[in-house]
Amino acid sequence: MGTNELTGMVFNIQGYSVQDGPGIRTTVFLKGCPLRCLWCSNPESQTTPKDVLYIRAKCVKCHRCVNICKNGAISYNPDLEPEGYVTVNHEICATCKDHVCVQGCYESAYEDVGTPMTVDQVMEILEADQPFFVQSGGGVTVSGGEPLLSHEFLRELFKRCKQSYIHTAIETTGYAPWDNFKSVLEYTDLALFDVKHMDPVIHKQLTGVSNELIHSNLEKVFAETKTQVVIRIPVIPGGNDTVENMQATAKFMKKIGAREVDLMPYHRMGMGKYAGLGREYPMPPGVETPPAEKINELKAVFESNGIVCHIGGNH
Amino acid sequence: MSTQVSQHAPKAPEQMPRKIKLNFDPNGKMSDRFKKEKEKLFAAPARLDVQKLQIETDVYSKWAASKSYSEIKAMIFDRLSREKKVWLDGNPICGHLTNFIYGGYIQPWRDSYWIEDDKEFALQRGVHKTTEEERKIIQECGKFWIGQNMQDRVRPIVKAKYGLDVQKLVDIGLGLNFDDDMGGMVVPCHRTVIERGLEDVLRQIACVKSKCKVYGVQAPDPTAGQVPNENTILTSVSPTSDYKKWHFLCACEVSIKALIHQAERYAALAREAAASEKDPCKKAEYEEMADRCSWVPAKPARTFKEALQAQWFITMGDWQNQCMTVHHAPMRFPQYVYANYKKDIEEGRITDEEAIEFLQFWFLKVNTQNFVMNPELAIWQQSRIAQQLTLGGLDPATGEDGTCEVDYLILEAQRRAQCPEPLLSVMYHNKLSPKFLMECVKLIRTGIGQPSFHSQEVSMKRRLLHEEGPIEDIRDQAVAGCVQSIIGGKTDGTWEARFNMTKMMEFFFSNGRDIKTGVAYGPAYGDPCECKTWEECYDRLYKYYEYWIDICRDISTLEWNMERDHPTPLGSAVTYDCVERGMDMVDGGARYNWGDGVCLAGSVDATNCLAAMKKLIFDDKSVSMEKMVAAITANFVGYEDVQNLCKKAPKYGNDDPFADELGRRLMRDYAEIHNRKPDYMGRWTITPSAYSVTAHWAFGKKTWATPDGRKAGECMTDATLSATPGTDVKGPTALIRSALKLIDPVVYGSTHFNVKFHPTALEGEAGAQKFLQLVKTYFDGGGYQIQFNCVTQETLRAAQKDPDSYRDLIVRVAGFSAYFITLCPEVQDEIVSRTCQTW
Repeated sequence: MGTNELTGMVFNIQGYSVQDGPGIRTTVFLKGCPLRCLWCSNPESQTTPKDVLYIRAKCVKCHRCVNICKNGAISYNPDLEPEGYVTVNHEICATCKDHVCVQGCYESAYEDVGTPMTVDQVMEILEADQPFFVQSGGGVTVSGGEPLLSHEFLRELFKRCKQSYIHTAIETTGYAPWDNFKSVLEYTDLALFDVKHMDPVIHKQLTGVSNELIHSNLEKVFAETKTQVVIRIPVIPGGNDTVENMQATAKFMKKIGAREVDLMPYHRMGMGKYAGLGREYPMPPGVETPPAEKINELKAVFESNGIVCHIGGNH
Repeated sequence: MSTQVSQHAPKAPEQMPRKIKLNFDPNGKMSDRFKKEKEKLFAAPARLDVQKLQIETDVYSKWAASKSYSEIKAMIFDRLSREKKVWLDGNPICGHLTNFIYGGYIQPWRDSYWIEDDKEFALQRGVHKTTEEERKIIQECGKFWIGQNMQDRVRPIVKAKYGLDVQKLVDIGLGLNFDDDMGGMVVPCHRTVIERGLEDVLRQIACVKSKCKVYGVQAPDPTAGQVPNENTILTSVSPTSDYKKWHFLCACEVSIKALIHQAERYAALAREAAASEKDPCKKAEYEEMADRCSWVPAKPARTFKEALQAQWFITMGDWQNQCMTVHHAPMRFPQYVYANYKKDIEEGRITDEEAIEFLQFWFLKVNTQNFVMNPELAIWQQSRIAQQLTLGGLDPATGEDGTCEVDYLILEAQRRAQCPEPLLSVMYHNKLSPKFLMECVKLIRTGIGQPSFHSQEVSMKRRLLHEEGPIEDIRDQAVAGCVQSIIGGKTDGTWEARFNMTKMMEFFFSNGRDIKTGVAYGPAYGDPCECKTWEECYDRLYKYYEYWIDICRDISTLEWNMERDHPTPLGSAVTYDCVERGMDMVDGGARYNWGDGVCLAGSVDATNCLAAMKKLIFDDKSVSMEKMVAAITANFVGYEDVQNLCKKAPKYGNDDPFADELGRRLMRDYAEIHNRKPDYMGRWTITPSAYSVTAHWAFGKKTWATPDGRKAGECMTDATLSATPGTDVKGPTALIRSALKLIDPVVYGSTHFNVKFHPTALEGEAGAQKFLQLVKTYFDGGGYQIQFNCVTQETLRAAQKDPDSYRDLIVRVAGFSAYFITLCPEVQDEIVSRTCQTW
């Protein structure tokens, strides 16, 4: 396939992203992820095909959509939904090409998740935002999902960005074959690299995959590329928020030469989207954003190891 | 006609390079004394003061036949200054606008159809219920003003000439404030009062009077058909015969002496209070107050406190003459009081903490400014008096950053005090220091919506497009009015009617009728279904704009010419070059002309209407014109499918050229149509204006369904560059790119752009820096005005209760952003708890 026809399944392009790398950034979110982290705040990004989000807060329970959908993906069952909401079969949505529900709903209660975009189309938006990048030392961050699933598209996009003098960053789980990863890093200025847990067994419980490939990739990024790396740790209460785990992470970072880490406190803002996708929120009920004292305690672990530690991504 | 440059024209003071030295507690709070005074003021009931109405009615009924308008105004102010109640309270700054802590005057000469019957009178903060006694006075006086007020004089002419009833145009939401909101905004030279003192102005008046040839012949008036050349410095465009100049100058003298007399009354009171006071501390303070009031505004202020007292006296006096939102604002206040502040600090007379508290007491005085509004005005003016205080800006003499310590102190005073007025605004340029801008962010974070930012560069370009003037004047830009810019102290202030952009859509679809009432207004250009192409459709719409913009201009021009019968001698006496020219500013006495023309609201709604019409009817052909007409006429009832398509058509605010280009074309055409005629004195300095205040709400209420999917009566879009709530889905950078395209702010006299932020976006130094970089990119791209509303906990709680009114509230955290109202309740609660005001 020629580079012009390469497309990425984009589910959001967010201007003025201030937490995803230096300066004012435009974050391109790509769909598809091999991980299933329990705390994921973008569950619509996990599957690769197009999907729709059903936003209950906007639904007025008119049930017109039940008849609009030609594929029978939308149904109304008062036993399942006594409050009057409809039920959406997202497996059917994944195979649907036109999502007439999105255009057809008068209340805009359906949103498309995933639009195939070419490199040119994405570049047009990035170049329009360039004055903001120049002013602030910002650039593009590609996030997801796991953007490395679309490594060919990503490599081409970043190559074009470098030709236009746009700073490039990737926000990644690090879970991808090294060759794919490396081909992208050739044009990547900064990698925001997630390290979720040092224990492979717990890592698998939390994310669905083991951490071996991730850790070996991380070592290689330092050993074989010039890309700057910031480690990102989502701080999940009861998941990875122990001093021991942070100590182990700090040790690992020192070993490979990583010097900077962002602690990203868990938040529940993606909760509503699970309902919109017809899924259960996987985090146990009652888990809340960790208190500042807890975060500061963990921050101190890194600082005592001589590692620069930030809370959140806006720095 | 006098063309000589007066010796009294202000010389820009030589400025030394400024090194900002500050010494205040950045976490400081309101003092107990100030807090008490603030609470007292904001708890004070709104009261109507009928004394001035009685004096005004009495003077007009006795003297209208023999005295000039200037002299009558001066006589009224003279009597008020002698007869009104004066008293001292806990505020160390003396002077009360009316006989009450928070009282307002009726201005019967504007309009009075409502005062006879109304029992409740709306002030900016609160409503006054009249007593029986007051009612008798109001009714008595009201009889005199029927047929004599501006409205009663303008409307019959409009009716006779165009067959149009102005009130009907207001009722159907075509426009607002054709003839009820006028009255020469004064943007006086505060330096005159602070640095020269009013006695110096009296000497100057005597000098000009000595040169007056009272037998002079009046040259042809431009309104009689002769249009003069461009307005040039010190050249009056509207020559006045010398005996009129004589009257004007006498009126200035009387007015100034009246104000000095009022100040002396306060001095006497304070002296008495000092004599009977036992507490040595209080005694000393009363003595100081007496000292200040017997010195300013007559003589040049010697201290910072005197400068503020002088500033308040002239503002109070001018508001006693004439009150109106935006009238007599503080403008570049820090520049005016800086020399006094500096001297006090150097000589150890004041500390920064004391200066902050004194500034706050002055803020309280500003918050007593108000006036009684007619019912129409009360709908949309609400609590504003728009006393814009300009921070930052350039030093007029050097072109360097003009920011001084007082700018910082004012930001700090407002951070602690949180007063609705004055409105702090920044004249933004690239030399502003990061330290200063960070102080601005600190204030924005409190959720007060201040300061707003205005571009120095655009303001200067705008002025240069219309006026000749020395660079020192051109640089001296102040924010004035709502979101406009002027050269403070040298400019007259006239503005025209307000125009509803979307009403033209209604006329297009209904062939010239107000759909709600079915009544035809103005021309009917034909059945819209005759338009077979987009260009035909646009041309038809254009014709409606052409007719109605012209009507609005004509009514305003007529109104302003009559307004010349209501001069402002006190304000003119302190505005260059009225005294030198011997002319009131309503006659063109000021050096420059504000030229604020017909102000549009609904620019974004109109843009979205055009986008939906072109896309659905002509490009996609998904809705026929017949069906669109039917859908609009039916207010989309039974046509929900059409409304849905309308709502999903391209929208402004997403950097989508389809919508933005259509809007830009309309805005360009509006400006072109608007500028075909000069202002009421034949001056071509007039510019179209674009801001909404709350007109978008008033217009929305009266406008039928529109093709952007909005139903009849729904609110229109706030400001003139903000996106319709919920339609800007691409984030602030895309919104800013759209905003930079829609309206050319050099051609227009104003633009208005409100952006809402959740405070998490401004968290920490990094958050603030990125925010400032966003602002700078907007200004580098040629933007003029931007204002940020940082939402507070109260806002979010209100949004939870009333989601529909808060559809555009965006919350963003790492890798995530969402409209607040679409989040589930638990998450909403979490965000509310994260939004705290302790920074």
